[in-house]
Amino acid sequence: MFRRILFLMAGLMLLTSPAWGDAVADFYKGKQLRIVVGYGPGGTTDLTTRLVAPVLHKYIPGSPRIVVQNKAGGGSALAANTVFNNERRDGTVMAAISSSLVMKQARGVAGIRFDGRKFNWVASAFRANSACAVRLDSGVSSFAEAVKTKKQLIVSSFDKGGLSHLEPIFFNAIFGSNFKAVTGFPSGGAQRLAVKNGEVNGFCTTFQTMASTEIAMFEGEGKCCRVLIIAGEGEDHPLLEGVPAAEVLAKEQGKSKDEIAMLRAMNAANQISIVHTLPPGVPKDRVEALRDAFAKAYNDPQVQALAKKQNRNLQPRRGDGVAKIVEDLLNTPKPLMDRIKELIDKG
Amino acid sequence: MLEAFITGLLQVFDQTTFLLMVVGIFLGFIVGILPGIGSPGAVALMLPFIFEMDPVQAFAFLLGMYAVTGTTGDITSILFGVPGEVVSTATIIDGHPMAKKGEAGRALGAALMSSLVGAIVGAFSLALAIPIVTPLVLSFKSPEFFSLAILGICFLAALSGDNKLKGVLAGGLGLVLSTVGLDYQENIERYTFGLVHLWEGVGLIAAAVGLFAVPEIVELWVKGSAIAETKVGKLGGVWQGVKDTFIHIGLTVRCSMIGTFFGLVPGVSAALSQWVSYAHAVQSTRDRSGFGKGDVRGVLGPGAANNSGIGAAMIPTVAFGVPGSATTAILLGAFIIQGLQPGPKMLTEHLALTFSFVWLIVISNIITVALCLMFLKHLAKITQVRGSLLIPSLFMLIFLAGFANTGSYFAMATTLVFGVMGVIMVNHGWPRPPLVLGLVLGSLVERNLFISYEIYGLWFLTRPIVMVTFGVALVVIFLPGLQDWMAKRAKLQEEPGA
Repeated sequence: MFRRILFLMAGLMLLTSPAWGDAVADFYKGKQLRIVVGYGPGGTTDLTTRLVAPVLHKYIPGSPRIVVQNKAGGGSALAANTVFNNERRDGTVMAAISSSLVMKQARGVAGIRFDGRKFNWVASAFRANSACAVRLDSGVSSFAEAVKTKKQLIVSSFDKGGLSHLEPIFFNAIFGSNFKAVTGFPSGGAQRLAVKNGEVNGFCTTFQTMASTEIAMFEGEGKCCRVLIIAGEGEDHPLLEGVPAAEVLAKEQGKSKDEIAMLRAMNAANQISIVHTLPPGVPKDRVEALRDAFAKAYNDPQVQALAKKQNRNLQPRRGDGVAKIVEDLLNTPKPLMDRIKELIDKG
Repeated sequence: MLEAFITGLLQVFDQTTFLLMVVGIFLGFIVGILPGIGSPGAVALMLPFIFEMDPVQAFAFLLGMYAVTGTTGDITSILFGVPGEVVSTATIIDGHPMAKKGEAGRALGAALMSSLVGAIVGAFSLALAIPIVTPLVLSFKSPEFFSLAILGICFLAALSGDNKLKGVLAGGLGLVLSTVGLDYQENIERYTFGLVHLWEGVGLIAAAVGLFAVPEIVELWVKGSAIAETKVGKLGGVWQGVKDTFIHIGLTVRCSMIGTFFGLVPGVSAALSQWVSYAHAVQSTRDRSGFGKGDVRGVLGPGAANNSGIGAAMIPTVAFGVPGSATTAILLGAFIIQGLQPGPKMLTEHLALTFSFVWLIVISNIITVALCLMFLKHLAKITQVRGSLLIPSLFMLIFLAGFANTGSYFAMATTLVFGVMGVIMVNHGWPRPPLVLGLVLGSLVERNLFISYEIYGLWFLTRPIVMVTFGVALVVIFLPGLQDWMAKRAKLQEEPGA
């Protein structure tokens, strides 16, 4: 009897699974999938979306037409809020937004009108680690020396609570370094110009930016800086020889669990950089189909070749993996989040 | 270096490269004429098409498009009072009144020829500046940016027309409006009323279009006639405008130099250079009574500054990866797509490519001006079309401008609000340019003041370039008064018995 039921169930599954595929294909056939990019044209989020958009239709059952729409505002919060609250929840509209919005939700920043736990995360494009670098003439040659001498190192940052501001203040709080983060620099270009012209001692951003866009600052005749410390557990790269990885260093120095959790929270958004998401309520089979499609699109030879030409190291993550990181970040214990907020406020 | 300079020129004349440049020019022409889309948005939308091109072809396409948007943006500014680009706003002040006087052709001729002169001056300054570009750009830090913004504010009076007090108050309102949005340091919401749409402040293009274009359309509606109040006479011809450029060549070249300088300094808005150039045109003229009412010099100044900045803005982009304008920020994306590394190598290994940019900008402008000159006579005739036929299309254009800028309907509402504000200001004799200048400069002043104080304390005021710029600012404030006083004194001495 039990065997019969098993066979019956297996038979039913065989019958129903192609029906799911057909259902998705039937749904998307002749429709368009609109991707709302939360930034203006030309930025990393826009360029990454437009990198996969031309091949995406090949991997979605029913081959919908892909339309990229830019809706800039609030560091992509406008697009996230709109897609979460006001757009169709049938899988024909998705958002391309900054993962740092999740940190903003965790901190209770006003203006965030979505719940990251309820978004149907589809994929992220990069897995980055934040890092801090200083000028060669800054007076310190290593992070250990910076901590030992307590030399004040002025770093150029964008806004309070943003990545370029979180890194220096967290490193100060946990390791005892003496970074002074000056906020208000309007763009990555301005942040780095201030380092190049010697106005500040250094800067913090993702290591991927240092090793690609800003590689001229670290090698060749224009070399002016060295990497001091990198978040996470480190990477294998010539620029990182002898550079401590924050989590490893924290463990070596016997830092508390809370402090290690803070370092992880700081770096979490980088791990799911440039993220695509569907609003809540989209049928599960369509979410899964889009997760599969993005995974295949990121591995498409055309996309890989273009990414290589652009010196961009794609490290995609499937939506379920993104959802796990978002969940962890949003579940940061309240006392810990209060400490993070306090640090940010103190600046 | 000479070899690279010539190689750069030859690269432009490669068959495919030249063809792509022409396609870029064609697209740039349309983008420039349609308000709101703007060169940054248009260049960005073309980025996916350059994936498969080689670097010279890619930049021929993009720079061809970029180089002509400023030039053609002046066309709608003059004909309808609708700025095609942010950098075309100052052209309205004298260009549109010229169109109303029946001199649309002359204004268009002057705008195009001065743009060409500006582009050539700007592009060659890029070539000449390459050996000294590093110390030049690196000498400008936050205090210097702050002092330049203060210098810009000192030009408010020159843009205020007859009523200086109203001008200064309008500038103050612009500065206040520039504080709307998230503050740069603490991320605190200011005057956003809970609207995420306002986090990044008031949209400049939506505000400028509303402020300048809506009152013109309302006037056209009330008047019920064509834009041109008189028929196009011989003086209103295109060639007269071309001749004007050479009659006032000193002013055109000086304004080109101003545009070049502002393009060169990263972080100082290109939108500022057109206002400073306009103010310079006003201040360097003895008889200022015609400005604001259709003086051709008010068209030549901003026209020259717009395009000269294009070549110059490439300098910090190429040498430091620091874009000098919104469009060069997107061109930086094109560098990355092409696997190029902005930095010292662009001035050594890839020097021929860098010089090809210079040539692309010059040649694109020559082609555009030559093509435009052929059609201008016909374009100018639009000003004789009955207003009631134009109004629906103009309304569609300006609200499209608001929408195209961000893709959000909120921008259309911004255009409407500023449109109402513009009508009120016109009816009560309040000058609008100071408000736009305040809006442009507010963030620059605030941001750089904070950074300068954080890093240097009050000592930033003692830096040499800061002190020199403040000195120039004092001259800007007091020189017109001094000139007026001297002129009155000379007149009194000339009049017997006075």
